[in-house]
Amino acid sequence: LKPEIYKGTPAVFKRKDGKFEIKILVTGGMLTPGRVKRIGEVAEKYGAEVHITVRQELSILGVSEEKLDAALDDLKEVGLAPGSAGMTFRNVVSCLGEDYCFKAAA
Amino acid sequence: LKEEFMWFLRDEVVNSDLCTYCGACAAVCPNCRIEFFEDGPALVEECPRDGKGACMDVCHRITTDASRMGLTIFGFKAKPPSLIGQYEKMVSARATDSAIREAGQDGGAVTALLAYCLDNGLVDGVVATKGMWKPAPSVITDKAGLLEAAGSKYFVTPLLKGVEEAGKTVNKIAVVALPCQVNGLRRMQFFEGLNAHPMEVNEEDGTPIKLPAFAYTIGLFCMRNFSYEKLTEFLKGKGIKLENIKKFVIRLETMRLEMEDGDVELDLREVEDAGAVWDGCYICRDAVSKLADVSAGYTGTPKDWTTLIARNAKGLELITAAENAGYIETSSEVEVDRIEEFADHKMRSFDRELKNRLEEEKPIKFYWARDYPGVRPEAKGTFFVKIRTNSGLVNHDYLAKVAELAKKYGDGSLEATTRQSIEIQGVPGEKIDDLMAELYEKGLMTIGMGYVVACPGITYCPEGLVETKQLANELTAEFVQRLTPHKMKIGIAGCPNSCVRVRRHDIGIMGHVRPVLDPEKCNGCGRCTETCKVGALSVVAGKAQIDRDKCVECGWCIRSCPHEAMLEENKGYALWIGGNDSRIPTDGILLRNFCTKEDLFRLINSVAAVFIKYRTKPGRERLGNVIQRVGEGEFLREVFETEEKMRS
Repeated sequence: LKPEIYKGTPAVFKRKDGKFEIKILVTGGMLTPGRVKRIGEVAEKYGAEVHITVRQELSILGVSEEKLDAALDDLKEVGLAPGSAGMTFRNVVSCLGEDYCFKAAA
Repeated sequence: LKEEFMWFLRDEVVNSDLCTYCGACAAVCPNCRIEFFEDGPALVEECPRDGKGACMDVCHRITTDASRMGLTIFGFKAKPPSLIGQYEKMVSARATDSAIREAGQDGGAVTALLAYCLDNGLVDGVVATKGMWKPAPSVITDKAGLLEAAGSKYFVTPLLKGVEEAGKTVNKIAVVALPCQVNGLRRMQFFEGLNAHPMEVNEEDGTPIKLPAFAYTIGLFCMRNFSYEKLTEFLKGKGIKLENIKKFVIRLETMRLEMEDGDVELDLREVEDAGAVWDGCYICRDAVSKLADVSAGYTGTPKDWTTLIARNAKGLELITAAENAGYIETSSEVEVDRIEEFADHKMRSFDRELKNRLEEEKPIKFYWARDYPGVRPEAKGTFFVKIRTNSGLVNHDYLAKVAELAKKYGDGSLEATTRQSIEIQGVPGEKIDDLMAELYEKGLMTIGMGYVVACPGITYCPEGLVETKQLANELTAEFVQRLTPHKMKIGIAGCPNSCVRVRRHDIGIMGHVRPVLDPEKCNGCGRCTETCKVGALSVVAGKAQIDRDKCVECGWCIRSCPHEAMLEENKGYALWIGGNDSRIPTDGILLRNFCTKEDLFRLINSVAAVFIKYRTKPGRERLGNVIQRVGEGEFLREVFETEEKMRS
């Protein structure tokens, strides 16, 4: 019942449609324009969609297995990597905190 | 005297030439310590709150917050900001009564509307500016008073202070106000109710400020307003006898004075150069009273007619009723492009003023940033812009657009939020207009309130039991921006794994499936007992047995059974209500199992109705807190009763 994972990486796993999802590590939801753009480019290149999760990660949905290596390389170029999944400590979720939010106590 | 006491608004608004003299701060001061002088309002006695009380909250030059005000004014149908604002209908109109037409400006349509309101008991007082010289706010209760006050005044007056005065004698008022006064009025009007804390009370005797109900807000067109002292000085210098002036007529570039001994026309630029324009007017963006119920002005119609803009249902109803009752006559002849040109003229003047202020490093409040939904202030004085997604699902085109906007306008960081939107961080106030214009042009939308989050559901996730994204979009379309006594967050999870934390949402929806055993097919192999994560399955006498107390209805046993012996007895959406994880957290309670989509919409409407019924502290108690106070049983009983009524 566990989803099939790719090359031992829990955050790259098979979905219902037989294609793979790459769950990208985004700590605290913080991104840069360059990274967002690249995630979009990867999605376009490999015919996939992007899902913004409720734990502030971006997931690329629907990459076929033979293109996974290329997609992961494209992401690696801008410092993005598959993140957390399975029985591990997961990515850290955080609000913006005092850097941005005027309500923040810390 | 005026510099003596600590007062936030003096430092931030009055001394920065941002004040519009609208009078809202003075109207809500519980101790009447704000008074108006030639050069602006001042705190005249020491404030027990060091000048940081209600006055700060109602000042529309701190923030107008039109996006939130619009929710109430336009009945949840608020649209993104535009040059002339949103409206239902535009007509040109004039009074049928010749006395009113004579006394009023441009055909007296506004005076006639007010006469209709007074005659028919829609209001018991009108607050308007009275007196051609040294005009002051006044409370009018009859037609004679209306005639006396008719005609445009072009001096700043603390009109809203008059609203507080009106509260002492009348209960329901119509207000005739300039755009800035309309904005201040809306801040006051919605200060007490849904969006903020209760009205402040007098420290000495605990009596709250009493404001009358605002039945109708009639906003005027306005390009510039003048300082009484400076304008009279200027006119005197021109050799004009003030007492002979019968009427002021201000047009885009001229000021015409209708005098007893013939008209005088002055170049408006000359009047501006003389410093007679009120300082706070230069930074104004609203020429047409976008937040009024009805806007009125000369632009767009033939001479001696007034353009009336019905902005919401209430305004439209008033105009129609006044026409049917014979108070006004109307025609559909309105040149909208001329009104747009008029409004654009003011925006260009605003742009120039903003540029000057930035160049001169003069202090500035970006009071207009929150007129756009989804734009909110940050600790550093910059703003973030929350961009809508399709419940978390986006494509490359969307990401490319968002990345481009962030690079161009933001500080280089974006946040993927826990509610599945993307925020552009660190946008300077002066760039908000350009960003939003480009954002709308690219076909993106921002998020104001009430937007549903959802996991990928059955479409993508191997564990998903129900469809989630489409439901999320349907719920968003139905409930987005509907006002409730506190925020109502909706989350949908496709299965009991509850990645979306169903029990911690005000409205939590979760897919679930109830398994049932076909004993004919079960051979007691025990595979289901291995896959069940909650120990709800065991093999008893050679057959699988489900412990219903332990079962969470995730469907793993159904999927794992090698013999198709575990079947779906029932599948659907479970509806949980009253969860929240904020200041006073509450756990959600189960309202109903196995709902259909239709059930969900009806039940959520019922819950909202009961929530509204029991609200005592808007903005302070979440749904779960109210349920705890009322009692679960009582609350649920009322929800089901309401649901029954909705069914029939």
